[in-house]
Amino acid sequence: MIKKFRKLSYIIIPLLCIIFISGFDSSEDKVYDNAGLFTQEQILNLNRTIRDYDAKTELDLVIVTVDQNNKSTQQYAEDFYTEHAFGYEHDYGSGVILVIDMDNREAYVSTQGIAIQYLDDAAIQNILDEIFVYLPNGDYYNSARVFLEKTRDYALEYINNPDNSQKIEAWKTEGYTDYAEYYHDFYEEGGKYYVKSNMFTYLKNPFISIGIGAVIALITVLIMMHRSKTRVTVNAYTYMDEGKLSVNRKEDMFIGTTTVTRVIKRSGGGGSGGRGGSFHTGSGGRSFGGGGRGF
Amino acid sequence: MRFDSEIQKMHCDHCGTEIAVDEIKVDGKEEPEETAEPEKPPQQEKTGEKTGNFKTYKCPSCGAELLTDENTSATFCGFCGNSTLIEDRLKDELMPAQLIPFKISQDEAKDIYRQWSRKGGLTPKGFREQSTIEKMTGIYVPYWLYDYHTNAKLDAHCTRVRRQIRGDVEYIHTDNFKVIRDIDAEYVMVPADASEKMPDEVMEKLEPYSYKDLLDFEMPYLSGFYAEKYNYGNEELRSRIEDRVSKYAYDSARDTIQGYATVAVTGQDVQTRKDSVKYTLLPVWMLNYRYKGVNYLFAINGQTGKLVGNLPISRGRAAGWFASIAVGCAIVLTLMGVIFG
Repeated sequence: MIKKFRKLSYIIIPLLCIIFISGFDSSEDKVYDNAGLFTQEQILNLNRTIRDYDAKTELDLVIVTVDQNNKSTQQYAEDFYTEHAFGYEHDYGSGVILVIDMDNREAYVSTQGIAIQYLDDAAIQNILDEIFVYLPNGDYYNSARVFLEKTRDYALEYINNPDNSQKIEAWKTEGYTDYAEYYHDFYEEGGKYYVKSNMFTYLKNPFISIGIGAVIALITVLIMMHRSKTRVTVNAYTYMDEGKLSVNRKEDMFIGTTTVTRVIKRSGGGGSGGRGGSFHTGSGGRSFGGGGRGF
Repeated sequence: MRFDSEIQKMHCDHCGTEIAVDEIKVDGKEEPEETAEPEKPPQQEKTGEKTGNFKTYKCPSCGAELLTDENTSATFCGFCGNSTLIEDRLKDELMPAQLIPFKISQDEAKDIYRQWSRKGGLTPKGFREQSTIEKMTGIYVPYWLYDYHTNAKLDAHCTRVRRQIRGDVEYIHTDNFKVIRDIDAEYVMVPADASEKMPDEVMEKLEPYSYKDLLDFEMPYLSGFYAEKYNYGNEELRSRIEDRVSKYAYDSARDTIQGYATVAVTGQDVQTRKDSVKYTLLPVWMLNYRYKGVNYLFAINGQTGKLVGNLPISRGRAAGWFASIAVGCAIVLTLMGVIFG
């Protein structure tokens, strides 16, 4: 029996080495089920899905579960990324990690690289909403599955929008190593691709300036037409004999108060569509986006 | 002799003599109070019980009826420009009780008109060049001046609103009030024009006249001017005046309800009582003319100089303004976009 095992291992171990060394390829395992929440078959399915979606979105999608964690879930997610040097185009490149933390009882979605642009804060909240349809019930497999699906959906939506093609091209060709540089180039003064879009840019459009000009002209002409007419200048007081005005009765009686209450909705902050999600500098000095929620 | 509005006296153009109106007693034309006329025209209460003899002119083309004194001749109809008028004499025609004499002379009136007609940005060019300004006519328009006593009672439901914010909750408090008002008000010398030919809207816009210049009627004031014969008796105009005075009474009462966010009048009762009415002549400089088939009437208050009238609007000029402003703005805006965008 032991002899059979030895013989097998002579074949299997080299095989495994080959697979490991060949870099990012289809048989790599992107599901790190430390908390044992998935069955083998579920892990296989998730990996298959990940392979498919990775190719379509050009993002490194990772699912992690953990049941002993003395850091915050966010910290854990970011350190995990840094330790494994995830990234689709190169190490420390673009990707999205889902961490299901059974210790802190929190789910966290962390974005890196161009994925920070693909998933803005509203999208992340949305993805969490979808995850939380299944998560509180203990249906971890489906929560992971919808994470993959929604992430893919958002990424593809961004990629397929022709208005974004310049931004995506720039990310690839310039070879940014960190999202913060990319953000600066596009959204901050002095950035290479920075385009000031304030109210005045709309005026460059001739249709808009002619439209506004026409409205102003119309109002002016209407005022001119109105002014050429004369007006009545008398009212009740012109002919009133003021000395003879007498108030016989003046009563203002308070009869009651009605009250209406209204709860003020605080608007959700952060993020602005088109500008990508909010991000911060995290583990290893790199930029991360993302958001989490407790269950 | 004619009445000169600049000196407010009778003036003789030949010898330059000036005489105050009340010093003139034209021979034999003193108010015939004791004439025993078998059929005196029905007297309307408190209007001007005197009657007198006017020279009258009737225009065959537009139906206008003009009155003037014995010494004045009407050469053309101020309403339609026709110069063949039928002269007659009216005996025992009801005399006005009072009038406001002309303060604005014909030259001044022409100036006012000229300046005003230059102003419009949308006036067709051809309009300004017309010279029918010569036909500006000074006319005394017949009015009934009413004194009314009114009482307005109002019931209203009013609210005041207060807001309070505690934490995440906003409280909107609406205080409700029941409001009652009962106001007496008197309106004196409210005018209603008794002329058929002068359009009511134009006459209303000429108001207000200042009654401090109101004088008892004397025939000499009429020299050099025409008066129009009144068409409507004061009873006929009563409902129009009562509507107007009722509205004034309502407005005055409504104005005493102050300080509320909303006011909803739930009930109102306005009563009016006529105290007196006087037949009065008020001075108007009038210019009628036709431009491109449309009649335009311009009237100037003969006492205050306020001008009423509508200038014709040239579509071409309006379009021209529209286009130039639109293009000008578009250019400026586009430049701004390029500079600041």
